[in-house]
Amino acid sequence: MCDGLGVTYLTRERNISAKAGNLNNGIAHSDGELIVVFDADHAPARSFLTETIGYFGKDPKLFLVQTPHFFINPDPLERNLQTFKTMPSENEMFYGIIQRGLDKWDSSFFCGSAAILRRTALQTTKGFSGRSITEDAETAITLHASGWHSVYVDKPLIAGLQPATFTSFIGQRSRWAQGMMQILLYHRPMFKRGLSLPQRLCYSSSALFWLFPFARMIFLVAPLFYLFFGLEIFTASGPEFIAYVLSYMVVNLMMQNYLYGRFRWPWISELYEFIQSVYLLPAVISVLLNPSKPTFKVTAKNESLETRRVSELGQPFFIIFAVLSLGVAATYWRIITEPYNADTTLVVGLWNILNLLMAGCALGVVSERPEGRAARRFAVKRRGEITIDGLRAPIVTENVSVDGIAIRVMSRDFDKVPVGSLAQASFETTIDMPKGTLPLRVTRLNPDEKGLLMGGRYEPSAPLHSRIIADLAFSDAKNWSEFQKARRHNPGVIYGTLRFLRLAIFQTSRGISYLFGLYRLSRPASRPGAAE
Amino acid sequence: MKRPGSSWLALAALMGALAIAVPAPAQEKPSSPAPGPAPFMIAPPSPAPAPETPPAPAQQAVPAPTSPVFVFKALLPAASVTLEGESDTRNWAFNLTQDEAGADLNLDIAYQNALVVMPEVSRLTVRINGERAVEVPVASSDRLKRTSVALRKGLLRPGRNTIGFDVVQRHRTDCTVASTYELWTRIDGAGTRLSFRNPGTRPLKLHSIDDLPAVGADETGVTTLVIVAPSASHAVAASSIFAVAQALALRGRYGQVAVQVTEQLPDRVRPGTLTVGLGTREEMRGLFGTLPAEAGGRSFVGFVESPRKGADLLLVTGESWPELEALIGKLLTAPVSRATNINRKTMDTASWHVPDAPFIADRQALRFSELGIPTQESSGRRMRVRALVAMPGDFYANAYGEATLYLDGAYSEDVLPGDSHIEIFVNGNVAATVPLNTTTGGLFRQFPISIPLRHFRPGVNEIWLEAVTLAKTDLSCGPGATLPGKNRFALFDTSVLAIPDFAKIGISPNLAAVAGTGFPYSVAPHVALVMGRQDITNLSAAATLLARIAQSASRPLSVDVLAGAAGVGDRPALIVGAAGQMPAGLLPRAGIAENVRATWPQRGDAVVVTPDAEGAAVFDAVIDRLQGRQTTPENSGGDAPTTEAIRERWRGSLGGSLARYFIAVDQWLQRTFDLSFAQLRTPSRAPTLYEPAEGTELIAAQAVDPETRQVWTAFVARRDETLQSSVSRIVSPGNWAGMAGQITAFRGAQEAHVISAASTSFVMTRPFSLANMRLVAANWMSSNIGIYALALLTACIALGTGTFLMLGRLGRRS
Repeated sequence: MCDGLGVTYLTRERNISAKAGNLNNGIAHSDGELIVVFDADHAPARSFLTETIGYFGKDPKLFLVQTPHFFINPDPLERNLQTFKTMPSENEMFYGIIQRGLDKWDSSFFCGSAAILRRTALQTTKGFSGRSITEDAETAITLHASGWHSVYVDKPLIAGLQPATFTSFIGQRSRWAQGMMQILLYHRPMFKRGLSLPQRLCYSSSALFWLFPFARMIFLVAPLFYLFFGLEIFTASGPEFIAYVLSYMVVNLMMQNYLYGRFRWPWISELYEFIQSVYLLPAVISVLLNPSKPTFKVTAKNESLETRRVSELGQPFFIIFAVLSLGVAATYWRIITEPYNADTTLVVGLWNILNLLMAGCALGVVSERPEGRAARRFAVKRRGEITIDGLRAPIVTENVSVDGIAIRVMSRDFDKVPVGSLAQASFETTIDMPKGTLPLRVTRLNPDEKGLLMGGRYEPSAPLHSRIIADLAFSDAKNWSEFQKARRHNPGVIYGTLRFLRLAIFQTSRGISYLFGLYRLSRPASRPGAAE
Repeated sequence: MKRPGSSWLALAALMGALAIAVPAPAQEKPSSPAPGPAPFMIAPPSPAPAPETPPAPAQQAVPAPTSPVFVFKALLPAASVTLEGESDTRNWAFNLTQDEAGADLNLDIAYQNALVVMPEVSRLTVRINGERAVEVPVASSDRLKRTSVALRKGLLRPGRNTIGFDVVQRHRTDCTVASTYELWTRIDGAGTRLSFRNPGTRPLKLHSIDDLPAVGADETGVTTLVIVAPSASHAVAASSIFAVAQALALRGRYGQVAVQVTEQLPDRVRPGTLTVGLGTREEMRGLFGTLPAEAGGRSFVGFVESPRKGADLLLVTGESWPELEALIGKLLTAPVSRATNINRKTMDTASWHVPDAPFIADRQALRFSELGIPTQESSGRRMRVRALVAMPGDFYANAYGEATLYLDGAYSEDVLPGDSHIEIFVNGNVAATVPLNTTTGGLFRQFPISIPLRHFRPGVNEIWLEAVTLAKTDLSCGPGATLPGKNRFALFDTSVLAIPDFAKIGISPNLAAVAGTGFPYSVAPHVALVMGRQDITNLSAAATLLARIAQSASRPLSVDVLAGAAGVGDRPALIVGAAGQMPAGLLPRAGIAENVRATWPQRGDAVVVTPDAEGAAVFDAVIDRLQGRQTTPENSGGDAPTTEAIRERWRGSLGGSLARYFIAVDQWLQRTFDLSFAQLRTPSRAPTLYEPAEGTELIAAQAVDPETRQVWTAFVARRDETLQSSVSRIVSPGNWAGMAGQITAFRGAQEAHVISAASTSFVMTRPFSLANMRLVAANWMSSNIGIYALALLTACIALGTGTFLMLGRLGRRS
């Protein structure tokens, strides 16, 4: 297939230095001035190069043009909480806000994929750095420190897959956390020579972010010490709590919402951090103790989820939930037996309940739902022609994904075609390319008042088929932007909080029912059609 | 939050030795000789002679103290000292001459106690120089009990000695915390003294100026300086009289000084009185007939034998008045002078409390052992210990800043959680509460307790630490439950009171600073004094006030006596006199309405609490204040101390539901955080001149001269005749400490009414430092929260705009 597409496929006998080693090997076997890096599960849109390459002409010291990673499948949280369609993804916070902000200070960094790098720049550092397990950011900091610049283009120009299960999600995040810790330890961004002050701050901020498990875990555990052991971590009465803590929390929520409410809804950051903290805390501690230990592990992103089950990493969350529930019981017991301490107990108890809500949501996250459609579909209108068993008809595509297509058939004759029959379809193309037909397996037929809606799955066998699919699915990056835009709205602090509360309560019950294998009973509640 | 008293309580608190603030709703008035007809009579045990009392012959001489002068020496700093609660301690110092210390002395004690005190387990112990001299059961609720013991020879020393009263009291029947407030033992000033067993001795033989403290005080704690100056009515003598009065008050370290200026020698000299002959040699010769040999022919300051029977007389004489002035400056004033830029280390409180209050000019950590609080255990329900600290006159941290008490202590597992707590009081106001809520007891190791500096003020401040520890046995209160049992609370002297760096800037008007440390007169090189008239009354009143201010300032003031306001110039001014005598235009400069001169003396005598001759009135007033009358400074006059409370009550009960809700929130904020919507109002700038309310006898008023920025303070009595007595009354420790704000109006014996300053101005007192200015700004912002909120909002907007502009200019355009 590579030959057919005019592509060289390189592989190595031993996986030295992991991804960085592979990339360096690729550099050694090529001679282009610019190097484009894509992950195996990332596919670029047609406009990728036209949108990015011009920057290299403008600035001879430019080493990197980075574009956002746009994912066409939900991450485990989005899938299990069913928020993929409605709520901005977690990574949009990074690519929509943080990278843009970093770019302002010339410190947007390489994210491993969907980027173009300059060969001459990479040569000064002898290729990609392989010391840490996040070679991308490490390469970027090294090059920034030697005076090279970077640019970030905020347009989704590639579509990719992200980890589908909670386990692989945690695996990926552990790698990021450990890699950034390694950068923090090896490079000390705050004191690194060659970086400008804003760059130092930017890199420090990006690396220090991964220390959040410490704060999260303390926040989780602290109230329990009081509720179970009567240990006062800090002393505050109810009114003091209202005056100092509550007002801080309200202001904090409002500020967050004001600054990036469109990208991150209230309490969602807390939830993401909470679910990661349980596993990231040991990971971060281990890297702090032994910085050279972690090794690169490829994140699996194509696991399919066929059945409802609790993730194999879910156990701690159920334990935490149980302990926090005991904390609620302890709150009640304390209020009854020590009425003179009631206001402190109430404050701590409320704090514990907040943790409990978070933990309840996490139960939902680790209770894996089966995946409906493998890939996200986007509306594409393209004329074409279809042939099934000699029957020909003009068609218009309705929507397209990387593995399937929906088409409207402009003929009454197709009503009788059996599901499962093979069709040959040809489409008009956006560029000049060899004509050909694409084999399609018919998966469903929906007659409606306007005609017939037919669903099909690609059955590519020749390189040309892949080109046709690519032309269908990746010719227009605007689709992705619009999909993102549709999710980006600001629900406001109050609605966002209420929504989170509803989510927490629903997910708690779902998580518990999964644990006890009761998911069959909960099926009506989980609206089968809504699964992505 | 519990807040039993407000600022008025603070006044009462400082009375320290005089009486005890008792924040409990139910209590008796101990001044009544017998506690009234009780529903049933618990037979008070007959006044059995104290077991320790040896059969001394002097026993007979005890009840006849009056006839011969100087057969006794009073010991108390006030007419009475009351010890209250389950345990209480008072210590102070007194001075003796060489002859007195060597004489055969008896210690006479007279006391009376509350009916509810159980005599079997209640004891009063008197210690002299740390040695136990008397220990008697507290068993005299129906009348004053007198007892007398001979003191061991050598126990008393020439010079300074200390005396301490310890009492342990238990309630007969009640186990509640409230009942502990009903326990009191009053030590009587007239009956508690050192008496000389040999009536023939002539004890008060003063040899040198250093013997001045040995003059002591009378049975009400007052030391009277009688200055005999034949030319007192002449202007030339005035500044010498003032200099002598101040210097003697300072060198004698007396607790309370009343100066009487006369032209003739007094007929009779009482104990606690020092007679001073002041004048040119010629005048003195006219007074005495012949001058003693040592004073003949030269300038002289020293003690001579009085021509009348009685104590020695201090003779200050010279050839001429200028020579006299130089002599006084050199021999009397100079030794007690202190450069204005040198801070003292302690503030002299020896006459009513030892150790002296440490003077806190900067960040300082004080161990309880330094503050005179020993390690102690308590088996009672309420343990209270006291400490004194003194703040400088430019203390400005009422709204911002917190002291920290690092507590070392422990409480046993018997202590019931819920009702038990530690409370810290500052000048009688609750400043911090720490609940003792562990069921298994607890140990405090340098446990930090934040004490807001809110209730501190310039001068001496009294801090109480009160541990309220209830046990299960108190709830059932079976027979004998009030007896001392297991120890409930322990306090270690390693506890530390840490005062942070606080803002220091003078504010005026602020009478509390004058009262506390004499500020700003204490730091002025010269003070102008304007009297209503140059006569003996005015001189006495002015000298009394000056002596008092000099004691607060711990340095004599350099006084320039002026005839009118014209020559005051760039000096802080003191005005003393009766309202009717005041020159026109003078009163408004101190913030008092001009027409007061004419109208005030015309008013009839209002119903005034006449001062109790025995001085117990001080105590009564304290009790009255504590019986729930919560007064706050307000402008309506002295006759409605509860106006604010009544207004609050009405405010809370009127209006629609929304308004009521709003008011409830406001009141909750006020209770909990000491915030109020009223604080958002900016203070009005319109100056109003004060007119005294009905019954006011004396006004202390302060204002800032708009041109020179100097402070003018007026002490104006209603009538000429009462000037001297009113002034001697306000310099009594309780009243003096009650002075505050812009105007303090004294009504009757103890009642004082404070009007806080509507607008104040700052006076720089120290070299400029950013750290201090930050603290000053923080304190000012904290007391003007409306402006603070606005400033915060502005700062936020500025930060936002600034960030926006900065981001627009820096970095890449996106």
